[in-house]
Amino acid sequence: MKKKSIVCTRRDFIRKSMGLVALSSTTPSFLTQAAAYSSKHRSSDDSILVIIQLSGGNDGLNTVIPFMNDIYYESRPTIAIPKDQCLRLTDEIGLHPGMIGFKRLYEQGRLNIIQGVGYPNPDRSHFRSMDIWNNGSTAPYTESGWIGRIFDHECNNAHLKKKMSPTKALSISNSFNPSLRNQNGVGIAVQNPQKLYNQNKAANKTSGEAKSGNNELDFIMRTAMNAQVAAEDIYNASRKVKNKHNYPNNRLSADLKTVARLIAGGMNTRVYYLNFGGFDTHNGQLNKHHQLLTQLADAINAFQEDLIKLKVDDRVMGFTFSEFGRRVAENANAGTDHGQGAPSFVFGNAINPGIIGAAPDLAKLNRGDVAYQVDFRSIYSTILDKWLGIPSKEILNEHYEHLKFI
Amino acid sequence: MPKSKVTWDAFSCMHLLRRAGDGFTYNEFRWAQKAGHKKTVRAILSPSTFKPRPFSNYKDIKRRLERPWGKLDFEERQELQKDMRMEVEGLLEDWVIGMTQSRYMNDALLHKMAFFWHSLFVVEAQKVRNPVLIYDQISLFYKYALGNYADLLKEMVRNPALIMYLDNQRNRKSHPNENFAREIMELFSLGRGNYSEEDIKEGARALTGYSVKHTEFQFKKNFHDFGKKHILGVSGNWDGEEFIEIILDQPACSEYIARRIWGYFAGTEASEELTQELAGILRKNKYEVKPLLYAIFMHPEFYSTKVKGRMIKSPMSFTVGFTRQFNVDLSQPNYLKRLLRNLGQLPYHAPNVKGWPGGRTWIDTSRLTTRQAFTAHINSLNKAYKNDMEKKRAMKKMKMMGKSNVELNILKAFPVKESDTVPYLNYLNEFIFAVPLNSNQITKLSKSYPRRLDDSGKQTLFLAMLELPNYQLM
Repeated sequence: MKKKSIVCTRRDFIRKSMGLVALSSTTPSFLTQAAAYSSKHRSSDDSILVIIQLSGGNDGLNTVIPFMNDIYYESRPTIAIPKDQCLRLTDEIGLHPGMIGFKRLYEQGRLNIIQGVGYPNPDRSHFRSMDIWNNGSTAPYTESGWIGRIFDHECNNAHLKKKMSPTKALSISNSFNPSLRNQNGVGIAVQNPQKLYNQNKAANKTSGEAKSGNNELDFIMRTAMNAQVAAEDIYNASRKVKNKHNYPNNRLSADLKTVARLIAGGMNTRVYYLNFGGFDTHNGQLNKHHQLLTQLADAINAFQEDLIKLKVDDRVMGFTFSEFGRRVAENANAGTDHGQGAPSFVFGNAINPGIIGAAPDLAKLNRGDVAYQVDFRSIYSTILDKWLGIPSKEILNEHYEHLKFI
Repeated sequence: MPKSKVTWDAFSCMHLLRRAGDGFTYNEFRWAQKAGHKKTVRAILSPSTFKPRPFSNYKDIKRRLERPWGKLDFEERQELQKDMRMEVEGLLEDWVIGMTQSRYMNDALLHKMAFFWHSLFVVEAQKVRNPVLIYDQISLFYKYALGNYADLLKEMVRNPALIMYLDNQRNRKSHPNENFAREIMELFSLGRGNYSEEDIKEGARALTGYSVKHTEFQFKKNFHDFGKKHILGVSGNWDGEEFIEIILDQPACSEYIARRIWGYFAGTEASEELTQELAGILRKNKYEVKPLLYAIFMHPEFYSTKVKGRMIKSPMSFTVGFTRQFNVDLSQPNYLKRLLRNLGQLPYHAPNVKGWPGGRTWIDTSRLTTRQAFTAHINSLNKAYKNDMEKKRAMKKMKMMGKSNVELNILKAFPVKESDTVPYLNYLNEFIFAVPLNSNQITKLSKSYPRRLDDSGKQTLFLAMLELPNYQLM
């Protein structure tokens, strides 16, 4: 059932027509041109990306389930999800029963599922694998993160040569996410806007005297003022509007609630980075995983509803990823161990709904794992080029094939 | 030695302890103030018993690296690379934790000097991904920390980590590679303007064949150019060691090293006059570092208003100082490493061969808020507990949840009897800040707190003070 408003915006109309382009070769050329303009327009300064990191290694096989596959049930005698409980998407695959929120998004045309995402020579260490995703590179010790490089690139761009606002990227947590690392002071970690604001206010309580006679102290004071301005911007934006949809009560929802308010409140932030942990399910996986996936799907579904009600849904897309998937065969503790490829979910108004990539081939495993089919940097490059309007090759050093989710 | 010309008041005393050890405990301060200037400097320079310990798989990795790379199959290579990466991560972690846990002033200076040599002889783990080479280099930095620079420089010319980092294994008679020779002169010994391009070319010839086998230095005779070289005005069939001797004979070398060490501790550029004075001390003592440090720590200029309170703490000084001064345990895995990475100074991750530019580059909005968030984070973990049992239980619970096991007892670290807010503030003000708040600021700050403080109020106020801009200076 489509829940999207019948009253389409012009952009919405053109985007839909773009879908037509693929079907019909008789579409008037003005429409194709307009469609091209529209996608270009969207990748200007107002598109927003929300990244949700599922930490611990999400069990992809129990998330997007190949319920017609016998090997799946043979490999997981205690933790396989029974066929009749799966939320069917196609004749072969279905979502985990906890993910009703995602099923809804899928039916609305706001969800794309990319199967078997990973990278060559996978590493099973949480730390290292997360590093690879954060850096957007398999090279060891990359010092900047892939998001951070977007802003370094923009700063170095000869045409712009501008100073970046530190709030262009926000880590919705207490610590700075490594993928945001950059050389231009962009990025602030904030889980609670009010706390950050109070903290900065307190830190500046003593200032007020413009010149202390100590140049270094003055310099830090000035920087602190800028930080305070940023904290104030964030705080004010977070208070400007109220959330218009009810969210479930969990950490991810709380973070997404903040993000929705910041977006609707007019923050200049392009990238929001969220972390949702607990996916390292080595034992007693069933209940824990059910809870996590339910929270994930409900939170994102509520977020999407909220964005619609706040009328900013056209500007936002998001995706989830995990550092790796898990082993096909369950272990002796009714859990699963570290594996390789895993699904990513892309959501938002602008995306092309559907499923990219085939269901994992469980007959052809790589060291007991689902082999990866899609390089994660293809997701990055698609988002960079087609959503954020940043030449992906500048950020990722190489060209990665675009995926059709935008 | 001349008599101290420095007024040994509480501020001079704290200044020295901050710069030489990144911070101090209350007891250290009390002792130093009583002991006087000279005795304190001698105590700081006294030999430390600290020795870095190799990581537990050191021998195993070293042995595995003795098999030629070409003979390993794909899986073995992957396994080895993965193990090496993990060991590098682990040993850097151990290093920084070690630095935050030094117990005495002399240990703190030893760490600080070892880190100085690392920031002079930069190697990036991005290029040299070998924990054995990195560990071996770190242990040399400790061996020569307060030792002889000339000896250290001679070691460095044969140091596998540095050779690999600067591509000298490819420096052969038939195809000289100038990288190593250039950086030796430009960054490790003479400084720009004190050599010519010709000297680099000739120096590179002297270094041909200085290579690495497995994890050890190897002189590859067949690749060495035994011919005559003309370096910095002298001719001969110089090899690498003789090349270094020629450099060490240059006055520019002692000047460069004196300036670098002065800058590291004082945070200012040494004037020409001061440079000559310090370089003279270095030369007179045949490049022994200790007399130079003694001279710096006794020097009136080191205590001048140009120096005191004018240095932005490096991330290393910030974290080491915090943990040392306030008796905090941050040995939770990855915690310090992540913090230092976010603040921009993880060891073996300098931006390039020149090392960290330092100064104002340490601070921008995101790094400043990260520093403030760090103290706020510590604060949130440090409720005042009713008794030790309650505290123990809470710590255990935090550990189980994978949260940082941070222990801080500020009331123990600074035994203050005052519980009226303003006197308490005044008391801390002197200890915490190199640039204390003025009375105006104290009044302003005290207004957001009750007039009297209980233990938990004291702790909150204390940590709030650490978020002030003044705390970023030393």
